[in-house]
Amino acid sequence: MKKHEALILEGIGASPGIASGKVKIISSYGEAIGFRKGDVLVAKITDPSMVMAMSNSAAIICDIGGIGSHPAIVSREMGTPCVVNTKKATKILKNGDEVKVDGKTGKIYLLS
Amino acid sequence: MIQKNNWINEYAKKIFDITKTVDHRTFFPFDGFLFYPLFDNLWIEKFYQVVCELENKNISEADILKSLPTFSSLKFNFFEMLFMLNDANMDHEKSRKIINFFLQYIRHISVDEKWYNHDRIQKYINIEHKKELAIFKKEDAPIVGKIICGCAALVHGLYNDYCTDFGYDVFGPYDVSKKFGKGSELFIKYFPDLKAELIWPERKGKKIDDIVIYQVLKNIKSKSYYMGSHIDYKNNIIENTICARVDVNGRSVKNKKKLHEISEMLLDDAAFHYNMCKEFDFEKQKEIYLLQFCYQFKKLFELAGISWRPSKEMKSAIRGKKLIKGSNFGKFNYDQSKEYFGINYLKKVI
Repeated sequence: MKKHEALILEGIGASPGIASGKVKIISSYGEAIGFRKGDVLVAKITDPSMVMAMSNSAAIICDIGGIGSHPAIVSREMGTPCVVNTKKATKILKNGDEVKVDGKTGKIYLLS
Repeated sequence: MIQKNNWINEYAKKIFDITKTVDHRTFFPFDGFLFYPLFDNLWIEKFYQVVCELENKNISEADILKSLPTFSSLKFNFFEMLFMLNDANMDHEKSRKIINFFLQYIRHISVDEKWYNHDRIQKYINIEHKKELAIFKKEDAPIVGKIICGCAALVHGLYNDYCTDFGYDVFGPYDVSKKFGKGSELFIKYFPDLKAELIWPERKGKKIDDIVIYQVLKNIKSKSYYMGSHIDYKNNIIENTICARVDVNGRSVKNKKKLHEISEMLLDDAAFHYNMCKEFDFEKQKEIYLLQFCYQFKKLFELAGISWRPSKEMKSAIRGKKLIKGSNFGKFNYDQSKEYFGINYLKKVI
């Protein structure tokens, strides 16, 4: 059955593609270690210490950043949808929320 | 020949475009433009000595070309040098010599005078005729993507946010439609120094020196932002891959298992290294940044017979000092950008 989609956040589409998954908020190298494949990585900004989690993520969402910032450059090379500069993703989203990320339009939908 | 003001205006627009794509809050360990004023006069003098020595020793253009950093690194260093010359309000005669040195070699390497608009360089043109590109197929694209991600993340830690281009360049796109069909283009991702053991002695013994990745992509609609690594694709790269080739230490990787092993090794290395960098205190971060900055011109300085390492005066100029205040990097309007990044100064000097 198709899930209901509600627009919850908007930012800059930084890597094209659409993907869905459960939110996992990360702020450090330690938290990135337990990341599950297929989850949606949410961070204030990613950095290379989170690269293992990034490579296993279905999509990436960041509070800050531009299309030339680290998450954007790296996610484009992996074909992982990415939205940056949402301003408040880490505040609005909660671990376990199911979301759909559109890396082209920069829109993020809460699924229920 | 492009008229002076024309190319400078186009260059100014290019710089304005790229700086708008980044967010200064994300720079690690800090915004370099707030750091350079602590030592820029000393760096300029050292660089000027190198240019003079190369001239005095009659070093050939070919030898200088072999000693320069990657094309993107050279271009980014030109961008930084203009900022520094302007900030230090350097004597115009010296500035002109340094600026002309950069322009001479940037133009020499690039395909045409519009070097500020693309990243095509002579060296790799016709590479498609020399290499067997179709080693890996579309279904392997995610692993190739992980390797690029691992390399890009690793060099980010090895060379910091401002010197990354020394460790990561992208060339292309080159039209390969005759061989791979309509809309196909070749991109070359080049990671020339993945050890950097002169900056990080603990990396001695690491197995991978360099990696070159050749990707044939279709209908990707790319846009380059001055430096090779700052490339944007309108369409998804994995879905639009035709084939790829990965060379590690000059040898082509032939099977998927090996490719997977390399990707895991790089991702692990990158995460570990960067985490270590994050734990440095501010004094250590400045010290390492200065070393990373100078390392980019190691070969050129050695050619001139001058030590590439930061001088005692440079080290002393940053020790115990705070960064300067007041950057609005990425938030400037066009006119403010031209002033801040030394483009108005460039017009006065040349």
